[in-house]
Amino acid sequence: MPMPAGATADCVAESTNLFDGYIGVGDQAYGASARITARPGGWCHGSPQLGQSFYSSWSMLRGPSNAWAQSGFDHAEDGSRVHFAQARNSVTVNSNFTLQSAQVGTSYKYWTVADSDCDCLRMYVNSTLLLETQWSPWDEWSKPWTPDYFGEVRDHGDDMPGTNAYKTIFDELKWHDGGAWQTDPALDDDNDNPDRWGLTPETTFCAVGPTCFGIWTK
Amino acid sequence: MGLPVGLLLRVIGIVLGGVTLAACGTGEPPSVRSAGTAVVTSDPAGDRYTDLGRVQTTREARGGIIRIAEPSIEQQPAISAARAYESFLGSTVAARYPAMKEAQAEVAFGLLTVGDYGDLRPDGSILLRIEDQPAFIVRVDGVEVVEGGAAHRGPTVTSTTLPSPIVVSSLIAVDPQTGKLIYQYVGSL
Repeated sequence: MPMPAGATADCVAESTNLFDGYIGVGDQAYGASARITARPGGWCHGSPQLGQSFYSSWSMLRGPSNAWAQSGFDHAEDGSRVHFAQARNSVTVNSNFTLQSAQVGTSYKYWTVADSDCDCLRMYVNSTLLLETQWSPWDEWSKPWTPDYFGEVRDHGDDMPGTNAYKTIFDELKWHDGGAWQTDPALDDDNDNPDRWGLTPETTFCAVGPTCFGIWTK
Repeated sequence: MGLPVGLLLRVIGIVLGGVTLAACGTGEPPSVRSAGTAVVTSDPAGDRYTDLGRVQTTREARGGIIRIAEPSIEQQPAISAARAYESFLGSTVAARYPAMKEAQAEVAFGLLTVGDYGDLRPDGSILLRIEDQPAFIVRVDGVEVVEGGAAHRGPTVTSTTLPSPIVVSSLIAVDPQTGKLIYQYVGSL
């Protein structure tokens, strides 16, 4: 098993999936998009309660509780760094791990949209479709739908991807209003482990303002 | 570790003239032929899979998004089903969901089409990346996994509630010439 990439903390048996980023609020969204820089993270020492660790960063269209659709960068303990997409209609999970290697230091546009043509959710990296649902979000999801932008790990002891010098940058944040892509979504911060993980608005690394932020392990 | 006899029979293949032959797409274990120079092989690692051989009847999954069709007689794999299963064991899916490696898998050789993996054309249509592509398909059903769920609403909180487990399947496609993975899916099939 590959060694952790730099985590210095022990696994915390009580923890579950944890997040660092921004939750969209208020807007009735039909899509979410962000350009995210792929950065390495690290795994805690020991065994997390839920099995294998991973770390990821993604953009997501959030539906009702336990329902979402997302695409992003994923790094599993087997060392694979891949693009992934996942959707859930609150009961069924569809996941697709692509075999396009995601390159650390490269930024990718990860986006999800509710597509009325297919009556489904479609998840992309750049111009590549990674996954579509065989169910309709209009049938399966109650409103509202909001855009979310997060880094995610399994355990409190895991390292969120990015360092202070090389943050995971979320740039070009957009949401779809049903007619067109819009910038500057309304956001609330959410950091499950602020003692170890950073979350700040950024300007230095942003290609397009005004909304851009970074996450990392302190 | 040895295999129970029943399971051992289910992973038996027959090698004849360097080409692996097996039962065809019925869901039944391959037949064992006793004639000629056939060599009975089994998986030395005791892995948990059933070699279904070549697909004979087109199968669909995910409401037709995934289709597995019968290959032509000229389309022969260069690797064995056992090698394809090894690729599955090394997949991201197997790493992410270790229970997949403990479940019984089925391995079949067919022509794979994936209708939701491809490149977006300017007109909005999708150019599929996998369409009638020869592949070993490794399928596992009925595995319980835990998915984390979305981030929390409201102020920053610490998660202490474990999400409910769900039952999923996986479908992994392996290049029949090289053994490399060409597709990975987890979820409802």
